[in-house]
Amino acid sequence: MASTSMMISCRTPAVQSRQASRSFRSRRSSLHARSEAADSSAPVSSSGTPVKKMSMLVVGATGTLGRQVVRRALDEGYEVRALVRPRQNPADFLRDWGAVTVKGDLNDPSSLPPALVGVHTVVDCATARPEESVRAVDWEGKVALIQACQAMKIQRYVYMSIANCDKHPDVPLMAVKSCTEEYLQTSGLNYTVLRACGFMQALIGQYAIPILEGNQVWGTDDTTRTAYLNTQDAARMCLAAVRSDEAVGKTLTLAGPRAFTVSEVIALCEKLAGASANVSKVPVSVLRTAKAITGVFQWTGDAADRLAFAEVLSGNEVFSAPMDETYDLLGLNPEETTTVEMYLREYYTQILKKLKEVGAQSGQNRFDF
Amino acid sequence: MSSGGGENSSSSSTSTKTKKPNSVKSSRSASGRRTPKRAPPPSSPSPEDAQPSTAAPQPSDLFGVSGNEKVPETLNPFELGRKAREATENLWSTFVDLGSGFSSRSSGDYDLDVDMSRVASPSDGEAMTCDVGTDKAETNTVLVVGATGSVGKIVVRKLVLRGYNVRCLVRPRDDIPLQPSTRVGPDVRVGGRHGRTLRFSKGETTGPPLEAVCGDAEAKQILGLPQQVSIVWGNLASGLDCYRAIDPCCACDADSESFRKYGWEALCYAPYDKPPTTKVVYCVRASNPDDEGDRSLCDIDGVGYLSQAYQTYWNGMTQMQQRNWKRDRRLQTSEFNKKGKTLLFMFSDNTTAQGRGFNAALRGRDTDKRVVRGAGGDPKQKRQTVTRKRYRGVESWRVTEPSTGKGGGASKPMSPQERLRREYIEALGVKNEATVRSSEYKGVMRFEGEVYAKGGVAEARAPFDAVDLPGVMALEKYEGLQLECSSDGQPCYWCILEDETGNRYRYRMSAMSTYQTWKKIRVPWSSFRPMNNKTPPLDVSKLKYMGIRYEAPSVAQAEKIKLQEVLRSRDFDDDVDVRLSIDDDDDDDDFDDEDEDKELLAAKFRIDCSKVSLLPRQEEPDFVLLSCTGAGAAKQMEEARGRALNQPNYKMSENESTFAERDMRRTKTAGEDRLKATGLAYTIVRPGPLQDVPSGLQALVFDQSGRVRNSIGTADVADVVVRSLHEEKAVNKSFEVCYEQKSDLPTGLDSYELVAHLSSLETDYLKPALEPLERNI
Repeated sequence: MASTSMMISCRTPAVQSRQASRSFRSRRSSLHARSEAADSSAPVSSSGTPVKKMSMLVVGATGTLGRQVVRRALDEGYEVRALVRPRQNPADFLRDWGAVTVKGDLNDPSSLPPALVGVHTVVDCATARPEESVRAVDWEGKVALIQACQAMKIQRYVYMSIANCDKHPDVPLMAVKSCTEEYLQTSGLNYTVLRACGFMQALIGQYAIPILEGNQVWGTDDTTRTAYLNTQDAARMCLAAVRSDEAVGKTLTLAGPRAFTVSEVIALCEKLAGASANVSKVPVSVLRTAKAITGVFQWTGDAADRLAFAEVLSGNEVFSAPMDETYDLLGLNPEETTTVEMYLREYYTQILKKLKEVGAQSGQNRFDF
Repeated sequence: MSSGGGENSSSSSTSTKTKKPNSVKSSRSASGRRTPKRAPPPSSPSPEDAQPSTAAPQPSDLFGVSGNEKVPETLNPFELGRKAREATENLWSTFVDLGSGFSSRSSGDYDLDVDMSRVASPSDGEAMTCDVGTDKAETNTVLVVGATGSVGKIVVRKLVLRGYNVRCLVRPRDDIPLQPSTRVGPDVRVGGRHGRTLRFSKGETTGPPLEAVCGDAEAKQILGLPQQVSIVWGNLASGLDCYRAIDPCCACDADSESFRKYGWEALCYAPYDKPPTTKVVYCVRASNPDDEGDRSLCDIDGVGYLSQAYQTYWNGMTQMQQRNWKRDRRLQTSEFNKKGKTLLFMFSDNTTAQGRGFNAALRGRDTDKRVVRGAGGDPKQKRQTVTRKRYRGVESWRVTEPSTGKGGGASKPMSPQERLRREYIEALGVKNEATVRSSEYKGVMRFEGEVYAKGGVAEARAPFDAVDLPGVMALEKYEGLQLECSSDGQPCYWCILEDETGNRYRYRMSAMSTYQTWKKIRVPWSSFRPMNNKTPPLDVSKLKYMGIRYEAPSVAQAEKIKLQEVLRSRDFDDDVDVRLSIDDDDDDDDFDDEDEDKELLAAKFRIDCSKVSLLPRQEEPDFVLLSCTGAGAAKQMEEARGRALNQPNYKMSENESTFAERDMRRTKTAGEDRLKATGLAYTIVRPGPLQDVPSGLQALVFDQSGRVRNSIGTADVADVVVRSLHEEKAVNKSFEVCYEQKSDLPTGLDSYELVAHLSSLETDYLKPALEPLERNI
């Protein structure tokens, strides 16, 4: 833990002057990373028993993306190890699928090296749960993990980050992700950073279900556009990045086929569900003010962190990126990527079918078709 | 970090939200606990830029400001009633989520019950986009033999991910002690579920199945198998274990006390909690390929035992269904298809000679009765004769008049030599002869005789409707014929089909070399060619007759054969060049020495046939066998020797490698033939040397000629195996698969002619890849 905090202190000045000299430093650090990568990979391959190339550790394997990465990796023939925290109800589904679970915790750096023995590739899809501290998990935990990977000579490291995270130093999670990216660049690992824009799975709980049930849908009046991506496609891209040598040292943004605003998504859901949404719009300014208020108090700190995204919303940004190069680099077919329309249509077809079955049995039908 | 179970993530987040007001209620202690986490150390990075690190909160501030901002959900709830508080909390959490929902937790965490349940359940097909045949997954139980091997391991995981019920036959190991299962009462599960009792020879112990002492979960962990599979402990060399792998509900033999006590009743009401195996994936590799015994067990006998057990079970089920067993409703409702071939003609009982191992090990009542029937049929066994009436013997075969043939035909003028020859034959007054009879040795059908003149033919045929086929002459339900023949070695025998209007189709049966071995020839309908140009394409539903035809070889051919024979016997007579007859070394063949000319011109023939069966047309393979290409075999041998010598980089010399290749392919081919002969719908995958690389890296090449020598990734092989389980185009095909050749030549000058198929989990590459490949070879 001592080394972790030391690293933090080393990084601080750079982070503070980040805005000013970003372009310069990123160039320098990528050069740095490349030279170190060459250095570190040489002794690994020459001495000792070679690590099985198909061995992979997934951190954050129980998460939405993590579990898809595990499934995909198993399907592609990897020996998958999943780092899970020792807890009351263990992640049995991972073992059901054939992954090996290793007990470990990002907040406990001593638990990391044993989990990394004999691992070739580390895929990091972990992030703090809402109730957890972003700082403890996403910064200190990640630094500990990267340092453990350096020490254990891990030969490939894939890190899941957030799109445009370098543009929002005010948002804690994004700032942490951005810092971690930079730390990774100087670590000398053969890294790939994948920046996700937004996942379609989030749409279900936020819009699809409330619209179906006729509940109130909360939206903001922003015009931020997000290119939602299916987690399964993200997992596919993630594994393509793992096996692609050209992706080493690159930062790729994973975007869906088209960027949507919230109102467009709601309109789509209404169309597919055949129900009209009961939308309550909250002006972004309210959110910002609320953030300012909640940030004052310690007990509302978490809420403030989350409300900090109001800053992002007010920017009318587009969370998307041209994907041609990425598809080309990863050797994937763009046509295989799920679109939001396809995803929501499939979801509604399935759920309506299921609801009909349930309704036929129980004799009650509280849904509007 | 988001390493919580999906099921509790929603509850945990809501609990956090409810916690917030509570923590305020208990004010200081809660916020004090939180403080060390929140308080930004001076050396921390940017996160705290976003957090104004001001003074401690004051409740009065909270009320004042929230009132100003007209955000009712920030009202401090602890002064309100419980109900009001809940409502406020809901509003608050929604409000907070507004800001954070869209991308803050993009890398892992959502509180969606629906989403979690969808993704978490592996049996749910739509959770994976790359699924093949998931709609069929739930109804199938796949037995994977060799599940701990490099390919088997991945096959098992893939199947589990797709929601199959997976069963593994695992050899007992030293590190996992076993004990007889206590959960299965031997009293209940007598025999198999279909009521066919099994008697085991070779001193096999019958009784409850084995289970691991350390527990099932632990054993799976040691073996590296997913927790969702079920393990059957057993050895491939044991017929009982193989049978158990197909039907885990079988436990005892017919001599047991409970069987005598309860009889068949015990079977009818036995709890069938374990589904029977519907498909077999066989990817066993001998651990020590240099050990001939080990190899023949893994490559040949294991395949034989398992396929026999599979057939025993499923055919027993079919039989039972046909008997209209009314006692068990479950059996009535489920549908059973007959696995394997349907007997069309059987002229003898040579099953005991053929299926040595398994039938000896697993000889039940049924086999015994079949022997009795073979000896002439016992009228007392009415029930058995009903079920056995499907095939006919030699009595329905008739010889059509042998002819001298058309010679050159109408279009071509007859050559002077030929005309001379015919005149000579007429002058001699000899007649073509052919007979069909039951051979005195084994009761095989023997078709023999002699014809004269070039192009002379002899034919014997039998009508299909002599056979009581299930359904209304459902020949189109079958894929083709399987003949079990042996002949004198001439390449002049044809299998003939004739439809009701007299159109004829033929297929040349080649390479029946020796008399003593029975050759099984599988002929799909599509292999039959019209006998002349005007004949319309074969319509299976109109077929009426099948036959065997002999066409005398041309003079040149006959002379060639004769010459070879003479050279072999070193009999350099003067009249070698004029002898035209074929001496077939038959001892009881007494020809007239005096009438030399007659003998000179006679073309004698003899073909024996023991069985003709119909191959069922199947939609999907029942049995997928993982074999290997020659190069793959050599690599296996090399690796095994390297392990034995403890030299990881051990390389075999070229001679050694060639020998190893031939040696290993020999047993592998024998195993493949064993499987083909069963009549099950099979797929044989022969991968090149295996590599430990992820799937989807390179394009795959599918071939049947044995030309390909490249390597292939284990995961790609596993993908091909899993895909072929539901691939109609894979039925009854054997093919090599490997990565495409990387050519050193510049693009455009690539010399490789085989079509490569890009492998990916998303696209179904297997169907187009297998489409052009031939069946049944």
